[in-house]
Amino acid sequence: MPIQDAIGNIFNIGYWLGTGNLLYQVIGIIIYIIVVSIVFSIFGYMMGWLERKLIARAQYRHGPTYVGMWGLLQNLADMIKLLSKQDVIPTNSDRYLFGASLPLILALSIFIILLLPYSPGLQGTTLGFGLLIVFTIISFLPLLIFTSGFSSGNKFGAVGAQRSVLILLGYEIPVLLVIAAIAMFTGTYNLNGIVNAQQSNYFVLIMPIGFVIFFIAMLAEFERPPFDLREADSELVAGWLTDVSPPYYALALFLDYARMFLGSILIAILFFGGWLVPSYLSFIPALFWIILKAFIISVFIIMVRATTFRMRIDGILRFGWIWLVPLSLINLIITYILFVG
Amino acid sequence: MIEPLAKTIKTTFFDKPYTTEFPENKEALPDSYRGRLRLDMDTCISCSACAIICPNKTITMVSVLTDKGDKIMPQVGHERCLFCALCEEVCPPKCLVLTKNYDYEAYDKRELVTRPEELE
Repeated sequence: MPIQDAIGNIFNIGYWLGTGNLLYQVIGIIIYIIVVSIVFSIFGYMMGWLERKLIARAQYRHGPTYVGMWGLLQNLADMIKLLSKQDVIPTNSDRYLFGASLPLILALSIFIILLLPYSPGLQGTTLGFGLLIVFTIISFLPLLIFTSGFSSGNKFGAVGAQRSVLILLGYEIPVLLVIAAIAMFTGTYNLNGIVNAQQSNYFVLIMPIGFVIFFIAMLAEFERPPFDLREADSELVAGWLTDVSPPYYALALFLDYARMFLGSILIAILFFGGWLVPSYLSFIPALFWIILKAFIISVFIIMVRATTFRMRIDGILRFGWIWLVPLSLINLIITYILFVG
Repeated sequence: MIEPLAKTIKTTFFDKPYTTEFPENKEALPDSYRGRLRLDMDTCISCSACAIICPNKTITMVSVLTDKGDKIMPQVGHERCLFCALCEEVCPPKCLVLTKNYDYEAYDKRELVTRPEELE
């Protein structure tokens, strides 16, 4: 393998896997995992800081200021504090299920993050059914939240767990219908293919209703306000996280931003053309553009949090079943009539 | 939904915070603000007018050793001062003035009794 070739294609995982040598394939996978982990960790950490800062500014406050420059190290300090505390497992809980659920949720979230495409070279999967894998795992996460909350042996945890399943019932169908519309339009479940199908028009212009439904449903799936019913802190203490000890709670905080990253990258891929930009902007690397789009979407999610108040569980379910499901069906039908049929 | 969201975005990115980070950035005080007293020992003529007019008997005249010999000058007990500014008004050379400084605190109120040298 010529060394210049390898350096030129260092971030192209397809090149590494295509060499046919097991060692090079492992090297390629390790490079991919390191790059994506760094991007995702920095993004998650910065969003954690930015969320506090932006929410503070929306309320005419300053936000974190003193720890590090502009309070950048405040979240790190909080993390260290949480990780250095004692790990207590409640006697009422189902010890193994309770202990395993939260790390498993984080692990699965990171697994999906590693499956997504970030640029023409950096692709976690080129399988033809990548979209289906991603959304199968995403639908599985609320069930793990249910097991975590229910096995904690705490009544607040149990209520949060039940809400998790209710939200899954209400919002899974609209998401899958929107995805069906996208798959029908592009004729593929391959995430790379979906991005490449947006060369001329982003899907947000083709199916705006679908985008709105998907955005709202992603907020609900990933526990962002106004749908943060599972850990509604003013009514349920911390919902499914009530009995979680501080070290695990630190994981849960990181999970919040992992899911935020996942949701905004998914929206960027499915509706904003992933790394695709007009050709006069393409001298900047593709990875930058997809991260920029995800960043803007994340800031918008934070703005939604700063604006709205938490919905009630019956309101959420009514909204899901009465508005989102019919609208997503209409979106599917319109897409079929206008672009496919 | 759109209008509140637009308002939040405007507040977040374009408006300034109302709060101040207290010890570093203090709020802008009006010119008429009355805080801790300041004494200019060079111009004080030891007339005791401030001590006589002080309604709370906050000011007592104490002897101070200066370049021009032994003089009596005001010693202020800030723990009793009501910041009425009568002493500032009555002072003939205008050497005793109220500043904008409100940043003084003590565990014991006797620590707030300030000698003329400390008032400068």
